[in-house]
Amino acid sequence: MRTTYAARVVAAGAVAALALAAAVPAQAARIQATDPGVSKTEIVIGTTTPLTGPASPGYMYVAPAAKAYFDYVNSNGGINGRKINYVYLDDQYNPALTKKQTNQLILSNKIFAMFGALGTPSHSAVVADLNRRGIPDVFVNTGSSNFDNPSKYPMTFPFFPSYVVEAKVMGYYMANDATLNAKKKCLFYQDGEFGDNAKVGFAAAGTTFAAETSYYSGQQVAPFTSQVAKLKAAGCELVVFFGVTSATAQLLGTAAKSAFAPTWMITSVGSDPSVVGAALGAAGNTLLKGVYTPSFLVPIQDSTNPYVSQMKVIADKNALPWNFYTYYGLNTAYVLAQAIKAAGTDLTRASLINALQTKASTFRSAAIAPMLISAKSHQGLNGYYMGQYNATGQVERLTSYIMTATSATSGTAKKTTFKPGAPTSKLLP
Amino acid sequence: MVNLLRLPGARFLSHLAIVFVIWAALMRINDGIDPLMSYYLALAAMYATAMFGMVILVGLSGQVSLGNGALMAIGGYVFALTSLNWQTVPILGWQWNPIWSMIFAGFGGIAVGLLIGWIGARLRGPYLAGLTLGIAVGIPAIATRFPEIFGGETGLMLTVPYPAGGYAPAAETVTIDEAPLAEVPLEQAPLDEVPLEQAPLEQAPLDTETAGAGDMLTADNFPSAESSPAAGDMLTADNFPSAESSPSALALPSESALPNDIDPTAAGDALLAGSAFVLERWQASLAVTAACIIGFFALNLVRGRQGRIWRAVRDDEVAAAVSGISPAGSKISAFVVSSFFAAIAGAVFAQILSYVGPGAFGLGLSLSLLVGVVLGGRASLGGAIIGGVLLVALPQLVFNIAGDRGWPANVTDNAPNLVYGLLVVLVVLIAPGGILGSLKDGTRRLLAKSRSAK
Amino acid sequence: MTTFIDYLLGGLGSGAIIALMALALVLIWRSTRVVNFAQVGQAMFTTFIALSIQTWTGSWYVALIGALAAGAVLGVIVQYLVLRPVKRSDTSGAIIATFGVLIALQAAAGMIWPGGSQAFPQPFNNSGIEFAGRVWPISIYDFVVIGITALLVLGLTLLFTKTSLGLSMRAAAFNPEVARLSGVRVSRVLTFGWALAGSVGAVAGVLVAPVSTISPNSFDILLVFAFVAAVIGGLDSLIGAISIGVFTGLVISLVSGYSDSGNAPVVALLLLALNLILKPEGIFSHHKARSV
Repeated sequence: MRTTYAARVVAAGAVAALALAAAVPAQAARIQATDPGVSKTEIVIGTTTPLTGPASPGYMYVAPAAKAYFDYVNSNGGINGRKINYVYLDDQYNPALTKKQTNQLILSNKIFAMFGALGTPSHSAVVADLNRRGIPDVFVNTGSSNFDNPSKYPMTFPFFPSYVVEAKVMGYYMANDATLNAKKKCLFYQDGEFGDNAKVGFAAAGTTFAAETSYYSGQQVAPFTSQVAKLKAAGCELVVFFGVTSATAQLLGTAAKSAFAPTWMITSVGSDPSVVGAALGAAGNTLLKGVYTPSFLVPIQDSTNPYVSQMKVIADKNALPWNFYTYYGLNTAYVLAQAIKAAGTDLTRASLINALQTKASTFRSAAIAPMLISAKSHQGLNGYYMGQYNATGQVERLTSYIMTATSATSGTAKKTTFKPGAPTSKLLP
Repeated sequence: MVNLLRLPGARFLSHLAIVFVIWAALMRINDGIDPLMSYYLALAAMYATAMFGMVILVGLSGQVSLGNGALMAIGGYVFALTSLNWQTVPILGWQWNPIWSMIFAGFGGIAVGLLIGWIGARLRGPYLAGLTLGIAVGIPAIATRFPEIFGGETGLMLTVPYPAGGYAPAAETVTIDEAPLAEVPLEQAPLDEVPLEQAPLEQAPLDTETAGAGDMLTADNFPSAESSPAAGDMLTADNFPSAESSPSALALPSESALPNDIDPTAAGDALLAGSAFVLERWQASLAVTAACIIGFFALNLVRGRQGRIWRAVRDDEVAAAVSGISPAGSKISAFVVSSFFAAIAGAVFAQILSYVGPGAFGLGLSLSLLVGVVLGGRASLGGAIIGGVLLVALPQLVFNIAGDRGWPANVTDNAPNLVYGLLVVLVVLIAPGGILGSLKDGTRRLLAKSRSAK
Repeated sequence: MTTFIDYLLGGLGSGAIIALMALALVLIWRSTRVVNFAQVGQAMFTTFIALSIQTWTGSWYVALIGALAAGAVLGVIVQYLVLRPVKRSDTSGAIIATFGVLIALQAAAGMIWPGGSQAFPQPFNNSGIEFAGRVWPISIYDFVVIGITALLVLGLTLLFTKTSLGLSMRAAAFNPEVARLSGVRVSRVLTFGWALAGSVGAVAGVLVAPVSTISPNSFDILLVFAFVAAVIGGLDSLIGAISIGVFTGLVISLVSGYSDSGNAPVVALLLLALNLILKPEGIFSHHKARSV
């Protein structure tokens, strides 16, 4: 390609000019209120989440689902007369980009609150700054237990139970089920914090494993043959798997190939039936049958449940695929909407925090455990039921009770029951 | 004028003057712009700092590096670890301060640069690319392999002692450091004795099975975008219990108390109260100052004897060797210098982010540095500055171009990356010398044209 | 001992995939002296095309042939539109251009095939073969993968040694000016090299997809391993790429089995560094990579 100098100069000049133009940030919305991001008619809410890049599969649905819910609320008049202006930006799971996008949300979009920021490393880069600025950091989407620390992070509220809690629950269930407890137990986990947190939980629950092995994040492209061979050689009869959904399909497929058929127990993060089933194809239901998996939401396929059926309507109307991420995104948005409603007509950041700390237990959601948020603990959920895949690839709830635990390094899970209330009218806050 | 410049030290002084003018101008600009713009300025200056090294390595010495982002990680982690662990250690009688950590970061960069330069100086083209790609992937991987030291995948959070009326005492800054899990007391009411039941919503049936059909959202009564909400769909305050009406158990904290009692450094208050200290402005001054100091180094190296050595080896190794220059020594020195610059940039990055972690220093950062310097112009230091601005402005520009246009989510989300990728290809094709190269080229031709026209 | 054999067998299949991807990199290096970082992006893109074809027609063979064709076409497009205009001496420009292509392809795939990870149906039986009273972790499908890889290597070796086209390709790669003087239509030959590499990469993608899942970024890790294998193998050598590629697969499998899987990438990179220190020109290369 041969270009004249003039064309090059014009092109270079254009790039430079555009660069300068781009550097001028979009005009921020004018808001007259005590706190930024809230007016009589509008609330600005922001999210950083991976929409593209290696971490985006699955997670990319969470924020659009929340947007679908807020659109639904807005078309019904908003919350206390205020429409939700929901801005979600792509951070590709890169903490440096998270910081940049968060600054954009704070300084340019002038958000009232951060909602559902996703990812432990990414959120670690911004959590101190959000708290320093006094911006509510509501329902962080990570299983890390580091963020539930009201004395250090008074504005931060994690949502789903930490991986430590989940491991404690799994350990408790295995210990109290005679058949499972008699089996030779082994652990297969994803390298890094995910697996490390799980090990903390199992240690606290007193679960010991005959063999442990791991895979690294991104290894899904190479089958887990050697890991499966190791577990098989160790004579494992019950394998607990702590990994992501794409790895679950990989693991079950590889195990079938090696004629290795232990009892499986799979973390809720790795057991989205819609994804695992699709990835396993025709043989999926046979492979999945009998797999144990804890969950903190009503089973996604339970279409008789009023939460599930109504959320599915919103998902369908917005052409969102009906999977766990969509379901989860809709559910957290529903809870946030109730929190904003509960914060009252004179909405301020302080009143939102207060509503969360005092009224969370009244919020409706598809969660099967109560939200016990207080000034001392900001953890949203901390309980699971145990579920099991049936012959048609659906998760059935095994325990009518739930098991709850804390994220502390010691202490075991406890058994209790919880009867959730009915959803609010038409799922509006 | 020409004669004056030949005086000993004149070149040095003229460089000092150039850099000082740029520094003063940028500091002045920094005082007059939005905090967000200050933050962008900080990022651009930080990228430029690292890319001064890329100009020397790629442009002058002719060695392609895909791994300078990982060298920034060295600087970032050294900064973070020394400032987290050595706060109480007096160095040469002085109390710890960030300057020390930055110096250590620089030393770390020099050490690693020596090692990589030693291996890399013997390699050509793709083999060097292979080595540096390995570094770009491997160094962050090492950080995840040793979580006890480097904080694993999650990384290390650090609080930079912002100079709001002086640096915060060391003891206070430590408290922001991540507390180990065990030290976080989690109190929760015991759950095993009392079965829990969610309080019924007023007028809402407790049993979910018998929920009235009118209260259920179905595909049929889902509001369409056009239709105004029917009266029955409006939210009614009475079906929600105790949101506004019930007296809250906990007294609402006074508005000022809640958000403002957070930061031990008290910088947050200052920001919120609109007083003089603005975090982003401070970050920009830090990054600009570091960039100017490094830029001054680079200017003297590039326009001095060492610059001629690098160019000579790049253009003809044999001829350079004949005239007594060690090609290997020249290549290693280029690596050491660029690694030192990268490490300082990494230490600045750590302070801008208040965080270090493998995800922030991944292959993407290394590639951005290469993209920036090639787009800006790898032949001169000015290209690094343009590259720094581009790395900040380009994604923003692309986002604005590709922004929300009502396309489906998957298209909107991916549009910025598509435009970015194509733009990178396009600039490589239409401006192989980078933007600065094209501008110089263009000016030269314009001058030649006007001369020939006479 | 059986465990050790299990580990080795488990590494064979993924080793063959890494080998194919390394082979594609080597083919392009031989023809245009460019390391094509967009290769995994091209393979990902053509694998999505193959998945669409498979969904329409239901035939894996049609999908494989479709991927072969799409790979060739995409290779030619990338070479013609992007790499040809870049100056041959501009190494960093070429590298950046290929990365630009990679980013654009991944974004385009995210637009065209939304939904994150997708499953590629298993074309053959993937259960382990029973032998001597024991199930071994190698399946019919693994044999298909290894067989196709072997066929490709055989075909390419014949092409380069026995046909005039192959000789022209080698000549054009070795010295384009001399080749042009001896009547070789260099640019056409180079384009053919890109088409060939595109097809080989596409095959690698279609073969790995059924045992994993496919998403715009799912082959990223393959790039690192394939590149390491190609460099250690000497970049110029087909045999080098294949043998080191398979070796890399085995090493990953053994390291994951005997120690921790997280060590696998670190070990691969250590091997690379050792190789570059001890024998920088690669194990199978005749050319000198050291310049000093």
